[in-house]
Amino acid sequence: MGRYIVKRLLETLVILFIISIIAFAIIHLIPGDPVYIMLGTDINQEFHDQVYREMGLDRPLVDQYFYWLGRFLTGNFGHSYYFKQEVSQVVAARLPITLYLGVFSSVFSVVIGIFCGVITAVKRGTWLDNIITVLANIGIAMPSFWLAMLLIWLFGIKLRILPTHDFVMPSVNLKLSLQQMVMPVICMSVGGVASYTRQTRSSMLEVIGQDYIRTARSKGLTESRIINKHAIKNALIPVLTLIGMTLRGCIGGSAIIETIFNINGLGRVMVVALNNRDYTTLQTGLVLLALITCLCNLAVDIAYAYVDPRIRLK
Amino acid sequence: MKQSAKLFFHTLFRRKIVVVAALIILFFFICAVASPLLATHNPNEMILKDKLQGCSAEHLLGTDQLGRDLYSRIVYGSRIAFIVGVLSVILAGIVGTIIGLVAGYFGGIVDSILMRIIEAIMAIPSIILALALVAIFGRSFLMLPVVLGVSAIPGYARMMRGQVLTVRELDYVQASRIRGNSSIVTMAKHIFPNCLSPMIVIMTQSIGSTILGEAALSFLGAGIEPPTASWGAMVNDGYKYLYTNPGFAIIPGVAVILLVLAFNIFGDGVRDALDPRMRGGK
Amino acid sequence: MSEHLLDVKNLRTVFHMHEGVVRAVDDVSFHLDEGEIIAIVGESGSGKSVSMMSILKLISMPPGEILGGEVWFKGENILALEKNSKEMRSIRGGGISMIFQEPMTSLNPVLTIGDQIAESITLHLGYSRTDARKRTVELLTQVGIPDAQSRIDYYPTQFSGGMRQRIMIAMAMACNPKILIADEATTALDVTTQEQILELLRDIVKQTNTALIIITHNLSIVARYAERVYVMYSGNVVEQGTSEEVFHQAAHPYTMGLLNAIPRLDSDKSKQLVAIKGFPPNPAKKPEHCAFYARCPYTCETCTKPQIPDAISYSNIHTASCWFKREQLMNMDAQELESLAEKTVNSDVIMEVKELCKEFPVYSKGFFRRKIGNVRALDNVSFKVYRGETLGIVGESGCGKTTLAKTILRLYDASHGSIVFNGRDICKLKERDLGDVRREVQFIFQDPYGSLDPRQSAGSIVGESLKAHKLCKTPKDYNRRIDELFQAVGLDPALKNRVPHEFSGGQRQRLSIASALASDPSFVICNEPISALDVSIQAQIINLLIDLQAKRGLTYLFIAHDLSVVRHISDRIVVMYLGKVVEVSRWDELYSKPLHPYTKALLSAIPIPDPTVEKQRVRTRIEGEVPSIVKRPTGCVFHNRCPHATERCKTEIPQLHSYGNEHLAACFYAEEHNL
Repeated sequence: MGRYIVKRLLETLVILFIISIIAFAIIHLIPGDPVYIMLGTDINQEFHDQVYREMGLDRPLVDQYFYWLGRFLTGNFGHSYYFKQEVSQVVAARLPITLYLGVFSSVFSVVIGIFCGVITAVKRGTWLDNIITVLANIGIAMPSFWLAMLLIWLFGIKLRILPTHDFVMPSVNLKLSLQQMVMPVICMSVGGVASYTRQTRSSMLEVIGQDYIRTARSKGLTESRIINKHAIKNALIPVLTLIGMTLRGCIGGSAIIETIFNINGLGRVMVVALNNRDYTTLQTGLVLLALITCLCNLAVDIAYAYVDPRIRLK
Repeated sequence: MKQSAKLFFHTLFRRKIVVVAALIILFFFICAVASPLLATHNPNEMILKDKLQGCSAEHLLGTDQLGRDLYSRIVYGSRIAFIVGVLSVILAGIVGTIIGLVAGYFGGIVDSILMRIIEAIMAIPSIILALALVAIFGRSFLMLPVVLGVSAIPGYARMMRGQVLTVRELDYVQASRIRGNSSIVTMAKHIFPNCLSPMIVIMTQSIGSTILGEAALSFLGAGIEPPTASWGAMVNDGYKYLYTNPGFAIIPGVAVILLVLAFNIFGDGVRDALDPRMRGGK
Repeated sequence: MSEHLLDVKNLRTVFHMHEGVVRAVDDVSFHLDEGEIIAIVGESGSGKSVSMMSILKLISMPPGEILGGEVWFKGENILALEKNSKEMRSIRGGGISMIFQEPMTSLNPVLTIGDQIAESITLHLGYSRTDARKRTVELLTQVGIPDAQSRIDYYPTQFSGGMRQRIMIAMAMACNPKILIADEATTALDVTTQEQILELLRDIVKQTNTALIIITHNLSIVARYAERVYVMYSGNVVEQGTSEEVFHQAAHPYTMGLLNAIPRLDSDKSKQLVAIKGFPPNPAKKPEHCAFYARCPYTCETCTKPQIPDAISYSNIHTASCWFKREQLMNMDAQELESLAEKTVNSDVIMEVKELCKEFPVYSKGFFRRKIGNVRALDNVSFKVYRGETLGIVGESGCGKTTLAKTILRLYDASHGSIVFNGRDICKLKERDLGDVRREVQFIFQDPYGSLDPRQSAGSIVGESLKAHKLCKTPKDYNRRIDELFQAVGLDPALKNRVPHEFSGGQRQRLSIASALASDPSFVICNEPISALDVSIQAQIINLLIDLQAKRGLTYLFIAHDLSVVRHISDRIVVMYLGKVVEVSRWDELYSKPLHPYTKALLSAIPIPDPTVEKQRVRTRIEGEVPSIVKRPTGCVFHNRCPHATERCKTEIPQLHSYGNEHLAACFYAEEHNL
């Protein structure tokens, strides 16, 4: 088991290395002189050169990379010319919000989705199965931003019971935070709930058809014991992979929801940074998001090994 | 051979919902192809004095903030959806298939390197990746499928690789070598065709999510350049007028949902039809 | 009410499938008394498994439906009970329990074995957790799991196939059921493991006075273990009686056909196998008249009556459902025996394998996969093959027979040694020079389902070598050759545009054979060509292979684990164990005078389809299972299971010595006693 974790850790490091190269390369791939693009063309030459040097752009490419990497790893993420702050400040204020909402949405999707998936599998062919399956199909086909607008119109404008903008952490104002959270979380989770329902359903159906379930039946166990003790654990194994993907989606894909609801999160900041060519923020944000994704994947892999003894014992 | 094709279509259309899905796809396809015939107005024609009207006899679904007819824009928007969606899937599918085939067949260090790169791409959130690529390559009509496709390539590559790894060990592949075929012939004649069906299934199933991706990009202002009608851009435009004309934002979204749903269900149907267990025989 | 422990009357089960209603169990009746061992014999489509599953209501309903019948168990008609009612569930596992065919998939991989056994005990016997655990350890010890106290918390993946089957038996016996049903419980196991499991089953049921129902297609097992037999075909019981009655006085053409079609360890090879013509029945298209009509060699007008034949009684137990009496059948002229051509064997050596070794590297499990050792799949294997003969290669899992085949075909590169074919060393040839070898040396696969590309037409598969070696100059020539090949294997050339899944298992195997013959090879390696086929089809394929050999002067390397079949078809036999050749001999001497203890154990493990002979056989049993090749024993590879092992055997490796008459064996014990 230990060896397995070490192996995955090393692989993650390789991936992060590749990502760092990609993040670094973005500055150089976007056409045009980076400094002028960031700051506009009406700055004087002296300022331009100063910033150019500060960002290390006067060095050869490979040197630049290691210069950037070195500063990055020591916590110096550079200066954001758009937000006019240190990048670390830009990120520090926003990362917790994205994480909070992202994790919450993921957990929500997982729990509800798996629950629905198990029900549709166990009650296959009944009206409950049909309704949930139809809803799940629609859920996957729905653009999250569209749903956001629908909800905003319904609850924010027509019924006026939920706030439509901004977000504060619960530590600041619990009641407001909870109210503000409802719609964004719903929007972020819809896709997840739908995918989990479908995947869990098909996984459960496959497990129920397996030989060991037949053995369990032949021992005279009750249906509920067969489902709960024998089937679910096996069915969840493929679903775990999906959890990795969903975490990724919730955290990275939060950009759109954050934009609509005007939430001050990392996703929205990334979009703004990209549109305004704030390279330093962009690079840092990219690596951070990728890091979070990799850690989530790693956690999923470890959970995998824990749940499936076959992997643990190989 | 014809027997197989007949059996495929019979199983495919056995379920009514798949037939309905196919009809929806066909409907939108006709919209895309025959847009000039089906639209009531020029989708880009701005008549400012008619802006933001509700549904009426002249403008079936109302107008947008620049006085353009919404119904016509939705009809023309299906072009973007189809072209971008299908083209992107085909491009990504081809690239992903080749990568997967190479990685799976040759294995070893080639495989390791390719897979690490694939996983790195997967670790970047797709929206961010798409936006970054748009920043680099621009928003032209042809670049958009590429941009949307890039984040789908890893999925295809991994699927193809998995298939190749499985099929490679099967008896009939070894039989081909024993009967005298070279590695290349074996790969082309036996391995590749048998890996294709899962690929076709996921490709059909991902047309839906590609269309959603295009809508998301357009919503963020990074999609097709205006004034070309794209459903996602229309939702973006409508966002500002949510208080007064909710229909403006909501209706194009419904079009997206319908088409994506149809592709998803159709994709499921294709998967079931290609699955030998579902084909009613053995 | 009934005086039997289990009395099944007129059971009928159908499945509602897309292509129609499948009459899987069509009026089946049988009974079982306390402590009895009965066997239910049949091939695929016979309905034997579905009958048992119907009794326990384990079939999924839909699409299954039990149409009618009564099942009397301990004075109650359990067929009337609700599928998931408390009473039915307490019978499952508590009154009647079942073990299944696939030990690898029948246990839940994510629960410990202790957990899985204990849950029945707590459920049916009401024990507390600690008591249930104690009983589980007892049961595991009883079935022969070593070190049960600590292994109770292991997961199924940590056990071998044979061990898992023992665990299944422990699980089934945990609640002291009255009846144990073993559904093809040993089919997936090695021969020697099969014997151990069956003996274990018999010992346990005799100790606990549990009745045992053995479901199998293997008549030999029936002869050795069963007291009474039911023979099923296409959903009906066609014959029943005591073992002696059914084997010695078979009264139904199907039973007779089966008995004539299986090779026996003690037959003289002068009598050829008589195959049952035709294909196994399709349960979806069951005719109204006698289901065996299409394949029966004794038919006449009466047989087309749209009714299942009435049962004729020959004793108070023995009955058969045929319109004809046994005496009448004996007097009828059965249809002509196919006459098989005669072959000639040269003294010319077509292939010599010398000191062949094949090793596979073993990697450590870290991130950087370092090689930490080698696994020897083939260890100094040497033998000769004469032109025109059939050399049988026999052994259990891990013996290296498949690796041997693949190394000869150059799918693997040998680590050491030579394979000289027609004067040239195959091992030394470069990839591009293998063309000739690939034409001359061909291969028939074991699995008729996996060995044909599902997307190619039958004709294209058969003609693969023709295209690869460019053997046909014109398309007309190519088509002619394809037609010839189809006819040579007994298939209608009109089928050549069909795809594999439209053919039955036996037909697919014929396609495989045709494909192997396309390049006109002189040497064909047959890798378990019949083990995946129904018994009634096996004889057809064996006869076909023998016929083709004589007509085309082929040399066969026949690889199998079924010694009876190997004996029937081979001229000489090589016995392998864990990558080494342990004995080589002519077919008759191997069976009359086996020298190596492993050969003796193998022969012992294989039952003969004759209950009288079986009762008188003296058998040697060996303990333990075939070890994995990763952990090969030192010295003689067999020493840790050998009843005659000495100190010398643990350290020295015995070499192959000749004992006259081309009989070789590698064993110190044999040396001492025979030289």
